[in-house]
Amino acid sequence: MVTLVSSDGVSFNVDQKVASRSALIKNMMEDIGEDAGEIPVPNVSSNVLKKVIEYCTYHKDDPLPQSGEDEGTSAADKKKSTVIDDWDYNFLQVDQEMLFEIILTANYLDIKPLLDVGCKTVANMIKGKTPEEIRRTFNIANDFTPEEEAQIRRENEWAEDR
Amino acid sequence: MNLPNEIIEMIFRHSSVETCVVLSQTCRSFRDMYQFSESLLKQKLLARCPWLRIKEDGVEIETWGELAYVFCARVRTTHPPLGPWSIEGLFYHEKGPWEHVFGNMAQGRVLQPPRFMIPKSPEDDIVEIDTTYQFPYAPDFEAIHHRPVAEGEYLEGNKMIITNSNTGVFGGQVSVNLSTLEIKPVAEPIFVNKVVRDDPTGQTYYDYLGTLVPVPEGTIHVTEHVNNKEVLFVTGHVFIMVPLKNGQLQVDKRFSFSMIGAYMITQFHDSTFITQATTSSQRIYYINHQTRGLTTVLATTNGLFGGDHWEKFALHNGLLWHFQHNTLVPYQVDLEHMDDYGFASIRMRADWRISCHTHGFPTGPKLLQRQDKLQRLVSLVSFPDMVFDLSTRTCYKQKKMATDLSYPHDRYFAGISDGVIRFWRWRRTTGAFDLPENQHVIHW
Repeated sequence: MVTLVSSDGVSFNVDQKVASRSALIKNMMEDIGEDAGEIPVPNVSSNVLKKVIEYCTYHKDDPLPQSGEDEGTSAADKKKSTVIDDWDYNFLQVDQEMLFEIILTANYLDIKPLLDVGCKTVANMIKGKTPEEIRRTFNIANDFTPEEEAQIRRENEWAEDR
Repeated sequence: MNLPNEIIEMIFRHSSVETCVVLSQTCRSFRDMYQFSESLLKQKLLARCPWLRIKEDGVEIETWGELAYVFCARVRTTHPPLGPWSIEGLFYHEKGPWEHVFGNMAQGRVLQPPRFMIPKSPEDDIVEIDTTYQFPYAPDFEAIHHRPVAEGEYLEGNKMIITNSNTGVFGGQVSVNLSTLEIKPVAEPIFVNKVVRDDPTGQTYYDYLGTLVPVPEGTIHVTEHVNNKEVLFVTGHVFIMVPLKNGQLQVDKRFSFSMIGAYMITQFHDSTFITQATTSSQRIYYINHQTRGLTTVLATTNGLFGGDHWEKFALHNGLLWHFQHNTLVPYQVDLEHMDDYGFASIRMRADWRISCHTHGFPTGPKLLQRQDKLQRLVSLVSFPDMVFDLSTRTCYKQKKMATDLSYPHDRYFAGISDGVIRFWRWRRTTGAFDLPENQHVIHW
């Protein structure tokens, strides 16, 4: 077992196999040895860390992704890259703030499958939306200069079916 | 949303081309990511439409990001909106949306017609037959079209063997005695055009630059079509596709298919298309040598006797332009989205089409489309005095020549010389090339 301590001081006792889903923690455990003791996770709050541990626990027996593995090019790989597993889909049915916290944590802890599925979820949320709808959905400021706005208008000049 | 770049990149990676384009118009950080995602956009676009190219063979688009805008029906253009295509609009209205066309016209320049090779007089009893309409244009003249009418091979004894179906010889050979012009059917097929047989095994091969490619039994003539990725060998109605790797044929990875009906092969960049027409249908196929399959990118049912089955098509900046029903129609083809019958998704840009069906102009079902090697200018046999610039959706037309159409045996050829579009005339009565007088000069 290994103990992960969140930024707000909450400790989570986690099986080493579960903790190893994070490449960062796995490397730390390998460096420190068996008596890893407490491992601080300073950038992650307890409610987010709890969710991430839930994901790692469910997927603890999945094969680990190879380092440097890229998206495949075959049709099957492409299909796989756009499909989200049912459990993962339900797991990520959270509010937007939590979704981005999970993605940031997956990035920080180097949990590639969780990072992938989180980004896929965001991509699916964006799909079919206009730029203005995306801004509203994700609370993004329109920071384009007037010149850039004009350029975008030109790009869209022929977009409408007339 | 304040995400690090690597996560924004990941979101782009999991998004479609269309979504990437929309993201680029959302905020600056996304726009920056879009502009730095050239290889990603290239990968996404080629998966959808493998023949897309940038910055080569006359493709004017500089980046994959720009091409994604075209693919997603967002076109950047240096020209103001031109309005709908219309020959009528160009011909009758010199002001307005076509002003930039006429504004470029100038008169009074002395033009040199392309040199046309006149066949020499026969020497002794040798009669030379020019079996092609290949006009040797002057080097600075880019011919928009030439098409051989016959293919054959000269044999010893002053004979010629013709096997190509373009000559009307179907499923056999004829021998032409070039001295007497006597034509005889050939009873025992004669191997021509680099076809050889291995006597011990009986296997027939085609000799492609020293590499022997097995061809079906009974093959006597092979036509080859080469691009950078594959070589397509055609023997009658059997097609053999052999992938190319590092300039070498991968004969062990060859695959073949057969196709009935009339066909025409068109190659763009490193892709190969076949237009096929039977009595009941007409289709355009894209051959994918990786999946070893034919993808139907366009299908109509007007067939051999009702359709424009010899029509080729043009590819310009990602759009497939096809002449159909008196209209030059641009299609956006998406091979990633195919239906259960293997038909590729096609989106027609109705507002971009070029209508050629106007009052007082000749129209007909057999309209041969021509195109220049840059895939940019297109002209049609039935409209020999017009050239369509697919890039700017501009129709260039010679007003003077319209009055000359009463000479139906003359043939016109549009071409570019010194940056000027010119319409040359080949007079069948004299066999000579000339340049119709008082022709407007169109700078291109």
